[in-house]
Amino acid sequence: MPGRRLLARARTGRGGADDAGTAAVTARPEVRRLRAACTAVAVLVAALVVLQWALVARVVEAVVGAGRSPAALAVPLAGALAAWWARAGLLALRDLLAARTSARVRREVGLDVVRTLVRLGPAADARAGELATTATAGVRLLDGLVARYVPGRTHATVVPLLLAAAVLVLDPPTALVLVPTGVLVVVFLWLVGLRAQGAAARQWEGLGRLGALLTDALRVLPTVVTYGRAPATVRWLADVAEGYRVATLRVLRAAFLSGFVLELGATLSTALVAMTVGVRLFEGGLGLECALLVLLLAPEFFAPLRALGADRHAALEGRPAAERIAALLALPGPPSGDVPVPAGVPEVRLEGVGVRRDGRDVLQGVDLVLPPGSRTALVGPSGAGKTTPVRLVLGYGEPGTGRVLVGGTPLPRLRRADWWAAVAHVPERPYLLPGTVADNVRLGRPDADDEQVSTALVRAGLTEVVAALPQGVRTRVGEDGATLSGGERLRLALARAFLQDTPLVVLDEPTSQLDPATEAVVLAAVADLARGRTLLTVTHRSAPTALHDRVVRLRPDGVLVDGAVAQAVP
Amino acid sequence: MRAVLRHLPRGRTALAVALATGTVLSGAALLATSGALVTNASLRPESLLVLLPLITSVRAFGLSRAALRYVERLVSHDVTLRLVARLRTDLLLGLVPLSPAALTGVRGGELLARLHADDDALQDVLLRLLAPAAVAVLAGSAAVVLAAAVHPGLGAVPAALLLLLGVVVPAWADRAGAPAARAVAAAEEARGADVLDLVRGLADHVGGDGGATALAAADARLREQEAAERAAARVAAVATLLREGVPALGLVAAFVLVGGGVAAGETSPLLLAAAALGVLGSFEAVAGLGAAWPLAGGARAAGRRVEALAATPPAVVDPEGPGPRPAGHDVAPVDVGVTYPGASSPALAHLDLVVRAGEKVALVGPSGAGKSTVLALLLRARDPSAGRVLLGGADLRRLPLDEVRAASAWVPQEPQVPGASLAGNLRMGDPAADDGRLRAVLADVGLADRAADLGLDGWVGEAGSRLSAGERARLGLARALLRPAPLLLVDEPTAHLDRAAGAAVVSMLAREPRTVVMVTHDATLLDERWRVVVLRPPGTPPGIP
Repeated sequence: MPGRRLLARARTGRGGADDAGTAAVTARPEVRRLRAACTAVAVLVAALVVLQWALVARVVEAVVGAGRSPAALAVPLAGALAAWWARAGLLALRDLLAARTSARVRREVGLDVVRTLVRLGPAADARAGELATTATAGVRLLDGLVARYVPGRTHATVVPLLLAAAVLVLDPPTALVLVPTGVLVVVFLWLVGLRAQGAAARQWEGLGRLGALLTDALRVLPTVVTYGRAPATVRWLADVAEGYRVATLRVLRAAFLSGFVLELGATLSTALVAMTVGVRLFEGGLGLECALLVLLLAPEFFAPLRALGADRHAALEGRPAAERIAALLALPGPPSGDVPVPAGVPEVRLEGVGVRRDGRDVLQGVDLVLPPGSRTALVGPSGAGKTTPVRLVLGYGEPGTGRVLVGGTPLPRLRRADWWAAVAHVPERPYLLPGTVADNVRLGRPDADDEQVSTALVRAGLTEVVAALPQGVRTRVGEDGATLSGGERLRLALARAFLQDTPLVVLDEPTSQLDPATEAVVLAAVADLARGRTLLTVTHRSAPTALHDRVVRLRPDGVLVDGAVAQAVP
Repeated sequence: MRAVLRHLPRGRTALAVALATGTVLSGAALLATSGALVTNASLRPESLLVLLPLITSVRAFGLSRAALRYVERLVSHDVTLRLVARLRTDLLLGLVPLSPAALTGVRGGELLARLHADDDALQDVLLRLLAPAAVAVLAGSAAVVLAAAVHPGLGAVPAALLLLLGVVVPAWADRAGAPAARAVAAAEEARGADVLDLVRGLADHVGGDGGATALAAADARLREQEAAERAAARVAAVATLLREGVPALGLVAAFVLVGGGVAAGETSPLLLAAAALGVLGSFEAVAGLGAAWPLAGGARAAGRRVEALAATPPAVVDPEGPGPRPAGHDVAPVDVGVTYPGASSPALAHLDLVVRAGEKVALVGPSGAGKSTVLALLLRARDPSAGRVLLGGADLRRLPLDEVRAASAWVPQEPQVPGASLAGNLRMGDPAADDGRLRAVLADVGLADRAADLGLDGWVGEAGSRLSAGERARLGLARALLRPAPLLLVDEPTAHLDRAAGAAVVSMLAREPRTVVMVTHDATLLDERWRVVVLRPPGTPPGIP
């Protein structure tokens, strides 16, 4: 039936089938089961609607036409009440099923997302914020898609069709009023309405973005106030809001037209049915019972279509979320082979490595050998891309040209998880999980006993710091280590590296935030950690280079040159 | 909530509510007049003319409902946009006196996050809370009065059932669902924190145990959330059952009451179907209240917090009368001590320092010595708990705030970069500076190349995200250099720069003709042009570095 296809198109709002992300959600087995259940509910609801209004029409006919007292009509009245409550029960059941299915789908998708994050590994950390948003808010938005859009769409497809068929049987002339109006409304909505509604929804979301503008203004308020710019900022924000209001109202004037058409179609065709059956009743061509029944069925015909508008908005939000999630799940992880990581301390070698980013050579023709047990410092001016070789060695990224070899094996052929377990990486600002000091050290090796944890803390020079904490190693470090100083965080990360006991240690700007006294303590711990391992340190400060046996310098053009230069070591 | 009500444009709000009430009543009237029309026609009146008034009414209500709804949506959205704009301006104005003290540090971050959430909560307060409540009262009362006019007993039916569906059921659902809703929110929040922790610490999780701990934690959290959502769904399903089922009671009651009257010949038969369908249509009056109920608590709390913010005493206030004029621009903290609210020990104690106009002073010392606090005092971001700070011999607290602020250009350790253009950021320092001047200052701080890439009108990204930390530091410095203030207060300008760039910046500051007070941890960059002042944490015995 062409009407049905149009209806489906109007619902997707772009005249096409569901996109891949939405399809991935709606094709899940539990969502299919939900759709089947919703179809069954819709068929039963349509039948109950006809039954309920038929009984109501009979009661009116009996009282008005036959002059009977309602007391004698207890049976049809009770029947109408029963049919009505049965319909309410079915709808409640449908909502319950939909909510449960949605909860289940979001649990499963949520776990899939976390699994994907682990599979992608640290390569994903450059997009941390975006990934975290997709994993939390994105998954939440699927609720609109599963719990509202799927039931709403099924209901709006089944119920109007069945009711139209019922009216066609009961009173064909009324069906001639209802069906064309219904199709017209849907066609009109398809042509202009729902698109405009989408524009309105987007425009309305702009209100949230304006809120972000306010947050931005508040964030920089200390500077704004001390620079005497507060009145100008307030004026500017008010102007932006006023401009936004005018623009939004212009969009809404057109966008609300679709709602107007839907409403007008529904009310006017109800009015039209009332007038035509009224005239035919007057002329004697129709009985009151039948006339009343088709009149009562007219609003029921339009009700699911009207409800669809609200459900569609939920889908509108869920659709891009589903797309983002599908894209995240499909992200290729870093290549992983099946060659085990060589035992002992392997040689790491960069051969002719080049990386281009934003049209600029970050690295070009870099040859760097890290012999077993060597200590190499990589220096260079800020912004030269010193972190890039580190990411390559860790396997967080792939070089554009050249290759990275570990013990003679190309890095992509190694078992990736094993290689990550073989490298201790201490970033510029180490990550601390919101547990205790011991939890944070133990992240390096979850099965380590208390003895090993405290040895690691001693070697990282944290004995006194931990002793001064209220509960020693069982003190919670607070959200991202809020209670620790920069130097203490760093030493905690070093303790983790001690425990992890890996052949390769990579340090990224280990002392950039520290005062000279703290720097000396940290460097002593680093010197201890480096014993018997290969050490690669990235730094722009001079002090750390002293404990290395070799200094290489990355020039701003991406070329690596050997030896220290006066600029790096005074 | 008062904060919201104060900002509502009264006339337009009343119009929106009236239009929404009209929409509901038109819908009920359409059903009622249709029922009356069909019944009247079935009684075969002598002429079609008898039916004409009813036919006209049916047509009119069919049209008016759609038209009223359209205009109502426009008006109420307009009111919301005006309300949001006024609320936000008010919020910003309220925060200006609290700034900078209340907005810096971890507490400042929390305050901002909370304000953003409160702003969101108040945004829909008219559309989803106030208007539906007003419509329920107005349209509901009208329905009750009309029903009572048809049959004396009938008024009680919509009154009781509307109260049930509009107040009792939503209130019950809100209360019964509250524990589950709280559990869902808590599980979601915990899961968000877990995911963020996992993403930030991926290297450590994957390197440690291959992510097994993280996966197990995520699974447990997700199961918790699913269980809470299932509980919430049960409550919601009962609410659906009542919402869909209760109107039938009104319909049947109308049939029994009015039908009795018709059978007894006391009531016109035209009114039977009309009254029954009219009662049914009146339930739309409370349709918006189901969603309004859970919003109410959150919106009230958000409104209270916004009000409380306006009542917070600022850290610094303008003096009552005009104080003495400062003579020159020497700045001097005299026996100054600072203890932060809630702290057990002072951040700064007995500081005496005289900075002559044009002098270059470097504040050095270990973390926690109070170096940044000294800058905050000179800037009058906060007042000392003991002693006083003099500018040209006058106590800062006796000078107009605007004058104190005009005297200094401050560069915080992490300069706050709004998401605007490069030029927009720079002109915070001097709104009148022309492009040539901007380019010259950018060259001074070593940003000439980056500015050429980005363009003066180039967007610096959200919170300056398209710039590196070092570039943001240089931009903050450039902004301060543009500001025509005699006193330059610079906090750790070299933390994000390499040695050569750091030395260049320090040397440039030393060449400045005006006074410079710089906090630094790198004393090796300082030469004889700088007077080095060493600060020690309060309580440290003198002589021990």
